[in-house]
Amino acid sequence: MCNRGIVPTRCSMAEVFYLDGEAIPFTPGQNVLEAVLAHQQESSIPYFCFHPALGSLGACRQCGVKVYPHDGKHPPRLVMACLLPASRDLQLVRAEADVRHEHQLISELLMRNHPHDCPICDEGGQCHLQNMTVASGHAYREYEPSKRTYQSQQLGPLIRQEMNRCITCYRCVRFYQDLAGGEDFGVFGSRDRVFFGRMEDGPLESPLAGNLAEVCPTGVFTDKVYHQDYLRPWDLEETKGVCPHCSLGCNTEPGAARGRLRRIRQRTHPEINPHFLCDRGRYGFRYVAASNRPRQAHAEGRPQDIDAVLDRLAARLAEGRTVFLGSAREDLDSNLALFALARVCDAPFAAFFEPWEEAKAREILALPRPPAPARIPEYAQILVIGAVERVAPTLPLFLREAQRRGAAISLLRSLPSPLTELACEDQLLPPADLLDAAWDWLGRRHHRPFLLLIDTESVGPELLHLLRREISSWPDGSGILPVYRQANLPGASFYAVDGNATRLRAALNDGHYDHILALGQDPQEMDGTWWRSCGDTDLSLIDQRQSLSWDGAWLALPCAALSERAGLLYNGEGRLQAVAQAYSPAREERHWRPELGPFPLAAGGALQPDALPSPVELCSALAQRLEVSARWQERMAFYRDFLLRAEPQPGDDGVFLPEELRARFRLHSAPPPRATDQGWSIARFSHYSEEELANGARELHSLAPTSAAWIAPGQHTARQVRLRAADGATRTLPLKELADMTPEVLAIPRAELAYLGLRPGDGIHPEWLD
Amino acid sequence: MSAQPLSMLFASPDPANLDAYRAAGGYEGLAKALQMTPADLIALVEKSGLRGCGGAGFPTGVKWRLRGLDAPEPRYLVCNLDETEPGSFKDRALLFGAPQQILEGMLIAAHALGVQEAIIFIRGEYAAGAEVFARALAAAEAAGLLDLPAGKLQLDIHLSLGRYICGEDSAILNAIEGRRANPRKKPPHIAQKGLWQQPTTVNNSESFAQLPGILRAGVETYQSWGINGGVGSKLYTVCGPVHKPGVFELPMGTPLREILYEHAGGPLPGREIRGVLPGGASTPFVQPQDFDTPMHFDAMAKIGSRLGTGGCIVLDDQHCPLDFLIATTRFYARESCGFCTPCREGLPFLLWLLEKIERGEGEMRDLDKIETLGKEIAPNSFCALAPGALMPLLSGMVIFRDEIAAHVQQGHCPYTVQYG
Repeated sequence: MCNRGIVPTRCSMAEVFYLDGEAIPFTPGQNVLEAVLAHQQESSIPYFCFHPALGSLGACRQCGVKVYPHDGKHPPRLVMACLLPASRDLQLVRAEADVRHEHQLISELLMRNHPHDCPICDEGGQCHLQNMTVASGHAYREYEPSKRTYQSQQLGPLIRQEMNRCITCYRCVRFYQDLAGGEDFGVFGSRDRVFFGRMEDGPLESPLAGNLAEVCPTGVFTDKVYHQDYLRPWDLEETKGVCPHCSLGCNTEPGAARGRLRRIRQRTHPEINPHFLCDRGRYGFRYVAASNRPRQAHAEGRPQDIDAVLDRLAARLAEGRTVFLGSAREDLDSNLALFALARVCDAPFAAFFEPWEEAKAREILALPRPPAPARIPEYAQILVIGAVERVAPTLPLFLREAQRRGAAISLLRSLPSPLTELACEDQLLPPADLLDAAWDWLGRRHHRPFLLLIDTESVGPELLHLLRREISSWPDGSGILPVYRQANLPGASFYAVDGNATRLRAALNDGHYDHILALGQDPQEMDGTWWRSCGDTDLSLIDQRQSLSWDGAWLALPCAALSERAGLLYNGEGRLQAVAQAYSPAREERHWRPELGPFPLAAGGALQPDALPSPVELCSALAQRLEVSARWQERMAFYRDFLLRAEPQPGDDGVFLPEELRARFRLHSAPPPRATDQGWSIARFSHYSEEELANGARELHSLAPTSAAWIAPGQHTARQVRLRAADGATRTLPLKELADMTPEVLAIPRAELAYLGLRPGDGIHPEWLD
Repeated sequence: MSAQPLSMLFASPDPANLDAYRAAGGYEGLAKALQMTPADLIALVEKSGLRGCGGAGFPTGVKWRLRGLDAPEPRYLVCNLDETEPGSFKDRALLFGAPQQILEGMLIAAHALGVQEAIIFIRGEYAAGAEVFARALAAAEAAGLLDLPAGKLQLDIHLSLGRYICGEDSAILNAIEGRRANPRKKPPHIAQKGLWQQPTTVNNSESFAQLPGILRAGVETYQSWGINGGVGSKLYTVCGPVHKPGVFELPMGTPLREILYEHAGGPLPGREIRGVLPGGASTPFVQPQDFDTPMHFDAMAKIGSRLGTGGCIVLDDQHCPLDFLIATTRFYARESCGFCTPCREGLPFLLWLLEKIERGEGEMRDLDKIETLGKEIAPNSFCALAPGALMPLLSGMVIFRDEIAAHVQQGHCPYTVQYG
């Protein structure tokens, strides 16, 4: 695997060169440093400015090696390994005194202005500079004057800057500008006073800014959220996780200690996230520590212990008037457990409350296996539909790489997008016109394989259905990669085959059923109009977050967060990945000396609750109370065997959804789009930080704009807009302008869409208010 | 035919005037060039022996030939007039005194290289000169001189925002593109991927200004303007404690002694020249015993120095050599672009050591540290800035070792006591 660029390319190892006599295999196109890093667990050549995703720069001059020419006539010369193309039988030396001396000299020069604040630096223990300085053997400083100082900047709630530690390797700015396309961060000054930062203090605007903490080889950019709950890196217990905040399923490395989750770092999956993680993935985990995260079960508003609530719930289930609702953001086993319970109780079950969402999920599941995100740059033609960069913020990294490799990117969108600068074709359209435009694009008869990247939150099932049915006529290798914010949508869609959502609603409407048991999904948040029309239905919730109906629910059972339990998640490719339990929340044991005053909460001594039960444990407890445990377990095992031909382990590449399962979902019809005959059309506005769970992450969520209705500039002078739902309910929202969005489109957040019972593409008559 | 083809209009009241330039033979060279094929023209320039006047002395014709006539379009031509080398002011003289000549040279080069877009990159402090050039350009454009066989040449004037590094031939491209003026990694060479990743040729303004003379006079006459093994005519500049500092157009190969003592008038009364940086501040010292060396590329290289830009900086016996070395090192430490570690961190390190010695606080081992550090910085740095900075320093540390050591031994600068 070659490691150059944002996406590794496949190639075969064939030839070798020699470093200190050791044969190092390489692939054509690799430089010496890349080959050494790929071959040796710990590189014997120190380096700074080289980064596998950023490539070579040659600025730090740390990776010198001595080249002995083959002819034996010319003297050996010192060359930077990162700039030296690997070639056959190259004879390189690192172990000689003068090469060592060069490495030591560069370390000495880099440390000239680097402060000796390692004891209080968050990077300590995982610092590349520390490692390289120790490795190169530099210890004593001859330069006596004071060290250079800078005024560091406030860069928002996620990233902390300490510019005095900078060694000017240029990695940060190369990542931020060249790869992430950010424009609010750059390099200023010259000589030994180079400054990396913003024009002025303020939050970094890129949704990938958190990667600076990992790209920076020392402690200039560190994770500010980790800092709040800091424990030295070697005290953290790191596990193999998968990000639960969108459909890509990026691999993560959660770090936890003493019963608390403290940080998330990216863990390379060559097909999904070769190098980077978005800020939602990095900071969204903080919902587990949200002040309003439910930890107490309640019955009709009265706090009760979990067993008492389970008793009441079991009694209610025994009446046989309960419908079951699963969730596309909950893991596979939790859904299976609830589904098995529904089957045992012979009750209706749906994973989606909205038939429209269910139809989309069915179409997504029916797609032939979508290409992995890291394959995006291999396509020469890419059509992007909707706001994919808001849904899955790492995608622009791949699209940028594709554009660098010469891909023609076409963009169909309603909202402003940072991808416009990459696109050779860019159309601003109301959501309802996206399908026609996509159809026109397909009609151009492309001869090479192409890729459709679809933000399925902006479009309806009919678009997916029509495009999917065409796939067989496309050039071989073409595909559709859908993106959405649920982490396990295919894993919940197995039960969508029969239009369960519609039947579940019908069952509730016709009065046979009067109770919903919902796991990780709140019907009120899905469809406000339906909720308002069904006042006599009781709702019981099992959830890890405080949803809209939590306080008013009949029964409410808090459950463990995804990071507090192991699980299996199907990503948008249909790749099943295993997540290890990141931590177990525990009451922190500390011996406190009373003479020192009250327990210092701010110092990290906040009491943590004991572990909450997982949804599977709750379902198991219910099955026991209903005395159907054996049958429930048998059903669980049966469905599991049916779905899982092979079970992945945490850290594996993942197991794909069997093709014959996908084939079962290839139905021949899709619900027709709703008629839109009105002037203004509705679009979904979303911020990159937005996702049901991540919304509870305080630091990340503080960057999201407040709820508003967004229109193109100069469209209307009103300051507010009132929108009316079909049932007469209204919502008044402040009106804000957003440059570069489609005219006569009103973009509102998902919560408002759900309250009003609207979908992207619907027509509406807004009432303009001053 | 003038044997001073570069400076013939320096004294003219309006050097941008097209008619005056034409009267002196201007644009005859272009007319001749346009009758030649690009391949022949490149061969002619190669045969003339013209070497780049920006300092490195790479043969201009070879540079053009290596770019290749079949390089993909668009191709770019850049005139480097970012003259920031201390001690060198020949390009300024050309800009103010011979703008038509630079322009004619660029047109000849554009024809030879099949370029339709050219940029002249002018040092920011020469803004007034850029206006002179703009007038020359407007006059030539009105006269239809920019219409080359391949189409009209688009020539833009780019005023530098001002850093020494902008004169480096890949940093200049970053500067033109509106990026940070850091040098670029090579390969790819700028002849393959230069400005906006397209084939680009960068030449010094004096190199361009030489071209009309070569074409007008013919290769043999041009070569005969040089003496002592030099080829053509050359603008030398002299600054420092001499009677008549200035710009002198002389045959390439004029001995250094003649330049210093005849044309620049020799040292000030009662003083002697101790050493000269012959080609701007980034060249090693030449000592009086070598003053008879002809000032051309090969002869200067033979005595361990460089012709560079031909801008001589004189150090006399009443000025502290350590002070001189501090001035040059301070300049280069300040002008380091901050890209590579040895230059960014190493030059201020050296400067601190030098200043420490000058304050009388140095130790003898500091002298050794300067030499060892200097020898390690140069080969490890990314571009030619740091090696250039170290040429006067390292040669000066050898030549003036006794004077510098005296600072350590006496605890103060001996020159301050003697000369104030």
